[in-house]
Amino acid sequence: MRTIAAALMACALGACATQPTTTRAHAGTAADAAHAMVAVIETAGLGIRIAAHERSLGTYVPVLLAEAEEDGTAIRDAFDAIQPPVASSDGVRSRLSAILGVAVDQLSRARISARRDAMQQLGSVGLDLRRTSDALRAVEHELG
Amino acid sequence: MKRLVEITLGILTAIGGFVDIGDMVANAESGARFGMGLTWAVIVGVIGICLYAEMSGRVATLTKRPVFDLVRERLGARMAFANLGASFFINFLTLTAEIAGVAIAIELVTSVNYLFLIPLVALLVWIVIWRVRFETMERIFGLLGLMLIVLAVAVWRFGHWHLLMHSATHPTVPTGEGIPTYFFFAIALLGAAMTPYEVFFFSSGAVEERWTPKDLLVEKLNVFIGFPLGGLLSLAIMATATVLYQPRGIEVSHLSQVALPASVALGRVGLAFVLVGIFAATFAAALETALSAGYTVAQFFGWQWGKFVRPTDAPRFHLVVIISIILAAILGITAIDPIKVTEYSIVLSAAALPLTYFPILVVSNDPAYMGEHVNGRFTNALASVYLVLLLVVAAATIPLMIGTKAGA
Repeated sequence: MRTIAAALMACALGACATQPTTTRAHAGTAADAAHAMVAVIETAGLGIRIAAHERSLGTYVPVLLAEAEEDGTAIRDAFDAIQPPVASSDGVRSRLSAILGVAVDQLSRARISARRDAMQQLGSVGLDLRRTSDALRAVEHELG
Repeated sequence: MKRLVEITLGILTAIGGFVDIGDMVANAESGARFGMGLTWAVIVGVIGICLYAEMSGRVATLTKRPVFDLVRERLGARMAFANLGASFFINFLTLTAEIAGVAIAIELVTSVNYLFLIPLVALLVWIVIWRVRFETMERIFGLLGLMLIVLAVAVWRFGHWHLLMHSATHPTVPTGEGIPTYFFFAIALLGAAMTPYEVFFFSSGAVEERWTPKDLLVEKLNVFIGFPLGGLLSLAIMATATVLYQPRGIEVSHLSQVALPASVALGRVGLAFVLVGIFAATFAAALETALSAGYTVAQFFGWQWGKFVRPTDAPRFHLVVIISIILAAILGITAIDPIKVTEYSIVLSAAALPLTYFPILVVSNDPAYMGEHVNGRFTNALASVYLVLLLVVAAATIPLMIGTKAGA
């Protein structure tokens, strides 16, 4: 995850030379970001699953979810920092950016619920994350 | 039981060498990205380390001279100094990552940020090295590290044998992954299996334990049980990631993800075992690398070294160990990513392998040192093939690292 986030970050920080210069390249970067976020959500989903089934110990799940949140934030920030090459790419940017933001918010809520040992809320966030994951997969499929 | 106790040096070396923080993440990442398609790289690495660790242990047992002593004698002072510089640097990076790894393992159960725990862990590593006898140290951490076998139980619990066997015997590069990246990971796994500090530690440990020619059987048991066990644990980590992560498209970049399959498959007990195992394995690796820092420098300069003498009799050895631990802790608390540090150290160590292994091969064929215990023909033939392989790997490592952006 960090590799993808780092690559996206490198794209963002690398000025014009590494910015996508075509609509297609931008769409590809967006698909990669969606894919990376799905992977983060999948990890969080497994964490929520073991917490729900009381298969965890101590603060293991909250730490796992905090790492997922950190990875998700890195992915969102890296994607947001990418300059869309043409105006027609703005739609892709705002659409994906919104979903990535929702994902990060849900990952934060999952971490908070897990730390409070609020299993019911955690289960509810798990369902929300599942829906967000489906939306991201749709974006990835469309753009990839 | 007596035999198990006798082979704890091999187990400790293998646990610390094969399943340290970088190896755990590298194996899990390989499984998540390539399935069991890199099993062959682990097997090649296990055979290679068995071959050369056995030679280095035999040489140390018979001559009382560990590897770095021989490196200096056979390569000359200048070449050996270059080897010392490279080995020490790689070893230092690994020590940094291991201290951080122990702290992360504690964070997983306490939620205390690992950066706050690093100084405490560094102090603990030093206390164990300073106060605990070598044999006690290897028995405690070697045997606790065996708790990682719970990951093999998790593999059994998951089932999917057909998938795992097929993936291992029909290695392919999945869609979306490049062939150079595949070989970069193969080199990383080979470098992880044959990392030089394992032979520095194992051969110095043979001297620490005062092995004599009568202990050659124990030496072989250590090698041929301990190291394959380390390889088995590596494959178990890879297999759990193949089953749990690859179908979900999950990439592995945190130590916590190595423990997750045990929890999914075996619940709290599995998680408890794997967390203790991760703590012990990273702690063992921290001990190995801290001691190896002292071993290599002291052996190169001809100072008194080792835990088998009182600290006051080997002050410079202990000073190097202490300074290495302090500097590693300082580097660790800069929040440098320990996983990345150790991944780079594994790959860089692959580039330095021939310099470490060539002198071992030469000395283990010298009847003046070895008497009747020189290498047999089969050993020499296999060791020569490996030396050529290591030269190819050393030449390919840096270009592949640059070309693949370190496997990104």
